[in-house]
Amino acid sequence: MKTAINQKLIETGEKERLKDLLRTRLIECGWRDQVKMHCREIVKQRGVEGVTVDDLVNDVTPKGRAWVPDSVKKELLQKIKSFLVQQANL
Amino acid sequence: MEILMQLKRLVSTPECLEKSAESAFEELVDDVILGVCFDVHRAVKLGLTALEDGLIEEENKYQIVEGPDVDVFGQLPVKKQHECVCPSCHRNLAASRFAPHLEKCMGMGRNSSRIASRRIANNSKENASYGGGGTVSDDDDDADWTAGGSDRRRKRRDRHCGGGGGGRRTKTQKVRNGEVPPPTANSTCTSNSTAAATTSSSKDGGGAGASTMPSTSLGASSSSDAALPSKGFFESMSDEDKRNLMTQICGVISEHTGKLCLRSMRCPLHTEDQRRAVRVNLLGQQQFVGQVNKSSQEVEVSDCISMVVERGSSTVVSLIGVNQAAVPQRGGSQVDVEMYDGDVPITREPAGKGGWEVEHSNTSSPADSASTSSSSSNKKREKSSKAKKKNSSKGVKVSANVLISNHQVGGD
Repeated sequence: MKTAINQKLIETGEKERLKDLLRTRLIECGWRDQVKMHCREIVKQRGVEGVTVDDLVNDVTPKGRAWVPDSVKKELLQKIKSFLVQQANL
Repeated sequence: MEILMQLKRLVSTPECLEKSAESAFEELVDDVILGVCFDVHRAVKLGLTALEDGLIEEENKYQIVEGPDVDVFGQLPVKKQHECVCPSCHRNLAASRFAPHLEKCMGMGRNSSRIASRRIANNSKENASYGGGGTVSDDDDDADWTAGGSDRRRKRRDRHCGGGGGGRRTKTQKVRNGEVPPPTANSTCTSNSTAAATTSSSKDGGGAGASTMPSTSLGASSSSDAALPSKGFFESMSDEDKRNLMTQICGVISEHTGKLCLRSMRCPLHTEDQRRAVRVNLLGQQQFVGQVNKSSQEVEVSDCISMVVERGSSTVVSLIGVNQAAVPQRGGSQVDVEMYDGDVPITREPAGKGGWEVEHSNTSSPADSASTSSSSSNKKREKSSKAKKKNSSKGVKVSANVLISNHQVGGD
């Protein structure tokens, strides 16, 4: 099920557009800076040499997801839904 | 086609739609997070983050401090005084008191009493060396001394009058106790310059000890007209007169004008070392050794020393002009003296007449022009006839020649 949606999104290029939109919105609301600060704190705790990308990702992802503002989330969801419906009715 | 079927199934139920939309959204967010993590990781590994953090650490030093008794930097209101060590007396002094202290300590200030102590020391030394030369005059730190010059001026005026005044002494001329009265106009007219100079010098020489002489001479000279210079005056001064002169004035040759400093022995501009050096130059070995034969040495060091009398002017007789231009050395028996009165360098006549000219300089600034009485010119000449030495590094060129001191002395 997921793959079907994914496939459709990628085929039409909608995924790229949606991603750009999401990035813009998250930067505007300051989410990106928040996540960056958190990452730096993790680095300071563990030292510069001891940090890997995986470590960072595993630490930051759940918090990042939680910090996304609702408005942004709603907007994006709205867009995805309309896309799906549109695709289903083609 | 299969995909399409699936999609339709998904879309049909709102819950399904919601779920699928959310999963799609989550995937997008994960991708963005990954991008941020990549960015941060790269920055940390490259050290860019450390650069930014460094600035933050520095701020702590200069943070603004707020407190009841403390100023913005966290310092107490009463300022610490900077302390410094005096180089001569090695005391710890507050910075604000350092400059006045140094003035007094080194004896360079206006009111420093170090000059007095220096003068006393100098006096005792000079008394020992000169065998009791004249007393030191305290009075004229600033004044130019025109004691001898004024007498000469009087004489010249008498000469000009052509004896109209006859043998009468001028009003300003005072006969001092024990001195020979000033010569009559006729006699002065007939005598040559050296003779006139020497007579006046001899007259003054007797009164050289009078400390009030400078002041009276000043007054006298200012009222008198300056006549034509009589040349060879200084050299015609006897040794004794020269020595007397050197005990009464500072005598250090100024680098600017090349003339002797006519301030008193307490002059704050010059050190004892300088005065000693000048005396060595001018008086040569004689004052120290005391046994050198005058005729054998007869070397005039400071040909630069000359007395120049300017025409029609004022109070100051410049005693010494330094030879500042290149003067070709004449025959060994002649003394080259060039005068520099501060405005125009005047080349002297050949030394056949004797080295010294007396001129009243227009510059009345005491610091510049070295003024002295004609009476001391003999003494000066005597002192000069010693070592061949350059007086100062600057423009003073001493053409060290053998002085015809015998010739000069003949004018006595």
